[in-house]
Amino acid sequence: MKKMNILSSKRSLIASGLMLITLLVINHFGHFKNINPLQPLSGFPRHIGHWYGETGRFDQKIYDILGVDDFFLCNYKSHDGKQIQLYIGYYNNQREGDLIHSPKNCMPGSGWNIIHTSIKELTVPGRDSGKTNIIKMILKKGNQKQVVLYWFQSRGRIISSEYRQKIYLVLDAILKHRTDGSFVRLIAPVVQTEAETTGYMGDFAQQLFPILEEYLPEA
Amino acid sequence: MGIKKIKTWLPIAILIICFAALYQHVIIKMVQDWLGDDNYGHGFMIPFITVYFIWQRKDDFSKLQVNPANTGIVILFSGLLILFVGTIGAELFMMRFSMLIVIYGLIIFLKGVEFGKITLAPVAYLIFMIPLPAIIWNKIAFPLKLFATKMAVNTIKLAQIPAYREGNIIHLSNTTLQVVDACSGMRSLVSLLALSAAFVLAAGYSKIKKLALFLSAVPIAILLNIARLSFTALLTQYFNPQIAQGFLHELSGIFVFIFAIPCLYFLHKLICKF
Repeated sequence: MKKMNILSSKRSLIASGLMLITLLVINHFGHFKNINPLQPLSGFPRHIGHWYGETGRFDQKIYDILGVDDFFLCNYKSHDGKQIQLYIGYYNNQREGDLIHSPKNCMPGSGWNIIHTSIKELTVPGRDSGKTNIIKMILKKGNQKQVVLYWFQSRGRIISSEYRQKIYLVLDAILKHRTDGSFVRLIAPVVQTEAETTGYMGDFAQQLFPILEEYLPEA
Repeated sequence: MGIKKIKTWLPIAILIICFAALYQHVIIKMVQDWLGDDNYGHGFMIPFITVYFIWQRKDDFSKLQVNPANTGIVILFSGLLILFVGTIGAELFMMRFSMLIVIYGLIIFLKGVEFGKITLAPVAYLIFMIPLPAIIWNKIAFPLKLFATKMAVNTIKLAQIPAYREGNIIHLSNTTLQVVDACSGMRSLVSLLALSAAFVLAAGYSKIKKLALFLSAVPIAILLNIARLSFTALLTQYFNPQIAQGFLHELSGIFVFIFAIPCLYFLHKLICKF
């Protein structure tokens, strides 16, 4: 007799039902609108201020890992020989495996060690507060140094925290059925000082914002 | 009698099928990670250890009254909510973690709080099968790597060998060694914590002692990793610059374990004495 009721059947059916409903709800919400960039990123200007660029490509393997839907990679040079690499990765909709990758994940893998991360404030004309925060990272490999500036520009927001961008992703997915997003990254080698490099990268980023608005969808 | 048996087992079968259907995707992806990620090879063992610990206490279960509690449904529901949010946000860690909450909620909802108390630790142990998010992993692994490199260089200098450190690179007179991510000690730290937790679950002493033994995995893993790096550097210096690569590198990771297990056992004996 004691062995009879291992589980109450009513309760196990309730629990089973709840799990099944969750599965259906997830399947229902798991479909998001495909939002394309306003214009193909391949048309992004090669000429920005006094910077002239040559487009490039990563290895195909990298694109397979990144899972981007559109991208722009360009090495800009100024007339006095400074260099900045710009990368924009765009996702029509983000899902498992096709997610914006934070450089905090991939940089250490390629031998560049992150020695410092901070928030940099930029003045962005046209944005409501006029100020925007982006992430600044200092990378080191042997005695080479690089400055990286990056941010997430998704559904009308400029986000400078990987965690916050995750939170917005979940909220927008539920409320707006949208998970499109993009990642903008600038890398420059430190030739003289870190501050000097960061300085002209900041100027470059400021010129970038109005152009980005012509390509990346708003809220 | 046959019908009664069906009546007992059918709901359980349905329950298992629903759970499997709900988590099918999550489980497959996690097993792929265990197979593909050297840092999480031990993931395979964890569910078995959990099952073992539950099985070990089967006598306690038979004494308990089945007394289903409705708090279970709250736990179950929050687990399902975490799964939903995790899936929408494509956050693997959340999706995987929700499995633990759902399992625990099911136990309490179906079997009762008393059962929940006994199974809490074994179910919580499943956390070790879930790979840490890369962003958190790197946050710990990088400082750990620098620290290990620094300490290894100090040890090498103690042995009267000239060495110079630059970031995570150790310069020796005849070669340079780069302390890569795999040598950070993070891998042995995670698997040693899983091991010490299993030790603790099996041990029968007070909570404070259990915590002490569990956490002792941290210094053990770090010290053994430093010893491993120093030893590799010594071998490189005296025998063969090629030694740091390949075979020995793979093997020295196992050495950490060969030393760690007696260390843990010794500590366990020591703690028992108090």
